[in-house]
Amino acid sequence: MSQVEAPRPIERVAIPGGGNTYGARTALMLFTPIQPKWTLLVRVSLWLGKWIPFVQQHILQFRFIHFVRWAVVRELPYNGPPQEPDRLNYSYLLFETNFDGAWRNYIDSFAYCISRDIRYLWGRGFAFPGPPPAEPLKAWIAENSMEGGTYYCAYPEASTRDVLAAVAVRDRLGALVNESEGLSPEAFQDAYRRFLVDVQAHL
Amino acid sequence: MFDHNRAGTAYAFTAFTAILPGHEEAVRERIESLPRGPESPLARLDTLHYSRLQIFDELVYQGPPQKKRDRLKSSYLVFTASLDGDLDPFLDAIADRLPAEADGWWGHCVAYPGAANREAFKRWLKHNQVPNALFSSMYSTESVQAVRSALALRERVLEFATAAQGLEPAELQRRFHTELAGLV
Amino acid sequence: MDGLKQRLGRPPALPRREREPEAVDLADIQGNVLRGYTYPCAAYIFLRVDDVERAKALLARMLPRITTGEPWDGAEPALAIQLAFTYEGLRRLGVPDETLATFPEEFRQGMASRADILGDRGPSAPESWEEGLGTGEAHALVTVWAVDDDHLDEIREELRTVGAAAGATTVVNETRAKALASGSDHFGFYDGISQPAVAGTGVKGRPGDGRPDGKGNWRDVATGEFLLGYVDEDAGLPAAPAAPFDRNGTFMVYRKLAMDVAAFRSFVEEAGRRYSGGPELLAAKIVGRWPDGTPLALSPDAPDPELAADPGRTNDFSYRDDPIGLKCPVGAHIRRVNPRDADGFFDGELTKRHRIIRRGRSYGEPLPAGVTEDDGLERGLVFVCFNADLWRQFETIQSFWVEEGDTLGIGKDRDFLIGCPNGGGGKLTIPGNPPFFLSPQQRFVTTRGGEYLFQPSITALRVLATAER
Repeated sequence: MSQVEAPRPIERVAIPGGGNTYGARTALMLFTPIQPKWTLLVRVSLWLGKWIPFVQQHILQFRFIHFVRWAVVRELPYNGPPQEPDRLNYSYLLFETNFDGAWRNYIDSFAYCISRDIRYLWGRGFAFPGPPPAEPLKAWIAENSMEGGTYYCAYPEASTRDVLAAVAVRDRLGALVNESEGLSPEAFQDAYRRFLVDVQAHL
Repeated sequence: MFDHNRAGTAYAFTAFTAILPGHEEAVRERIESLPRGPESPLARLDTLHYSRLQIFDELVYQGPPQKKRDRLKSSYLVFTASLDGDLDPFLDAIADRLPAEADGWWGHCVAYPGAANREAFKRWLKHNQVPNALFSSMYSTESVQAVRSALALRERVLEFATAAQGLEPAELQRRFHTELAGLV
Repeated sequence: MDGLKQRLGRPPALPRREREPEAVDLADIQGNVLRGYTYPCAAYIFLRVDDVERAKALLARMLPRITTGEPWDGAEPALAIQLAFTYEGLRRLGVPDETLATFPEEFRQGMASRADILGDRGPSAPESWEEGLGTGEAHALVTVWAVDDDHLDEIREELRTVGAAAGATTVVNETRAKALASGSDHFGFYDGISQPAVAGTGVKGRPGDGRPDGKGNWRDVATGEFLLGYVDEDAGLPAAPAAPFDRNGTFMVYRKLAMDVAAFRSFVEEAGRRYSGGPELLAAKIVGRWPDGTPLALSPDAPDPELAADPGRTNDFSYRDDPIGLKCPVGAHIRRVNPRDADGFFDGELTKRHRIIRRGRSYGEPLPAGVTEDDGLERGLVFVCFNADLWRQFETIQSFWVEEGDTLGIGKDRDFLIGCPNGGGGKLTIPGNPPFFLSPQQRFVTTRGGEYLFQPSITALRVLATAER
């Protein structure tokens, strides 16, 4: 007998929208509790993240994420009365990301391609529905994501891949301009053709 | 000491500023009515890549085995910014170029000194800054200006590459020098 | 430390995913989902419900003749009939509001409201659609296949006159399919080669039809990607409307696509002079296959009739070894609509939930060979597909893979064969040494109309026919 969940609720997952999107750019922000026994591990893992190749190759490899940040928050900033200090029982994992395309497809990448990393990090919380599968993860994210407000993108028409392609073209064009000093037309044509071959996937 | 708010030349600023009791609706209305896109006041900040302003007013209880429930005593206005360069000039730019708007949304927050009081303004934002543990970007050494120029350049290169198909070498070289070489 | 390692892996509460072949309830599904009919004649008849009680009586009478998925003993029956409903149709037939609310938003909105994300702009915009489509008048779609025109005409008459005489329904839109003698589509390409191999059907999939298994082989796509009530590629049951629509039904896309054959031929001829590979190769690069069906991915320089004729080989290919698209361009039509294991899709992990079953048919008289002047006659493709989730499957393909290319790594480029022209710009990059930039994008395909429909199970049809209002 296959082990499948009971039929999922008929209501579909509410999709974050409004403040979270501008054109084809989407922002997602989560703020979720960490089990006390794992807080140090999470802090250290993130802190070392930059230098661990595993992290670079996994969570940070996706070419549809513009900027992504994590923070571990133990207490919220206090400014004196009339603010009452917020004493939290847990440390919280803050996650903010700006990415291209649809939220639902974005989460599929997390669920199917880097599921271990996701479970490693967010699984240090409570009742985290470890991917795969993806649908319970989407429900969890919809439940936990911060909504509304306003969203600003300095170059909203450009996806991450557009930016990377543009930078690659710029750099390769610079090299072509340098190498084309004093070339004969035929030699230039050759150099230009090599340039096109190098940037064809970026145009 | 490595600054974990940094990636390349980019910087991630996160601030949680407590909203004055009863002011949550006013803040919400204020930030949701902001113009979007190039008309946004945030567009005046030329080192700003991406930014969000949103209200944080609930800590979600995850269910068992979470034993304790956290409840926020205040709502918070959360400001996240991915910028290039340093934080101080960025905060200066907010005070210089959008003081009225900044006062408009942060004015509803506890102990906000106002953008006119530059040093207090910056101190207040830094006091409410939440340090990041890890920040990353796929193009962390490109400024906003560099990104925009590169995007425009790519369009020109494609136009040229399409139009230049089939040109004789001398003509190709001539047009390249006239139309593209100077753009780099 | 070992204990730590254990717990850092799989959370204990999560059961192991097991793949188990499920028998599909063939008697309860409508037949055309899992079987592509090869009848020579077919018609797509959209009906408006005029009188609910009479319409339900008509439905009850038709019910025994609706073709199920059960295998046929011996020869195919003279007629096959399938029935699907739009949201308006379900509402009109008295499905309760609470049940209607459980249908997904894109289905409730209808295809016409989704025009912008689907690329139905300009001449393809709903304002220009054929009468009866996209207006909310189309309630039911009766699709009929027949061994010959006589049988087809009989059933059409029955629906027109018996329905009308009883005042039950009116035909608001109709298209007669007509297969081309050559077996190809109007652009001259052999279509319909690639179909998903679906688990649990008892039919062995051909190599390439399934999803990549990450080890260079193929495995069947989960049943629940195409039929509600069965396990899907996410190892759960797909979100479904409330009973009785939660099982053995599926969502259907109907899109009548007019094809400008003259424009395509003259474009290929003209651009083929500028392209070093010539017009035949140019056309193949746009499509991703040669006209005979040979995939560029296996035979980039010339068609291979033996390969094309071998069902075990003609769809058995991968894009892994061709990330830049030197053999099959990244923007080629077939690569867009089914990226398989292309770069960025993680060995099919990010394509496995975006497959569709296609059941379309050509319509209209072919433009005689060699003619490059338009004759003013309508011809094209009635595009029909089935999927469990309209947004995730059909709309994701159409909106993210056809009407743009960022996910594929080609930015704002649209499908050069079927995409909406890009306001005077647009291109296809044909990678090579040197690459060729095919520009500007033309309009070869125009949407004449479409609807989102739900194709219920036989059980659900019975409920629709008999339920009290």
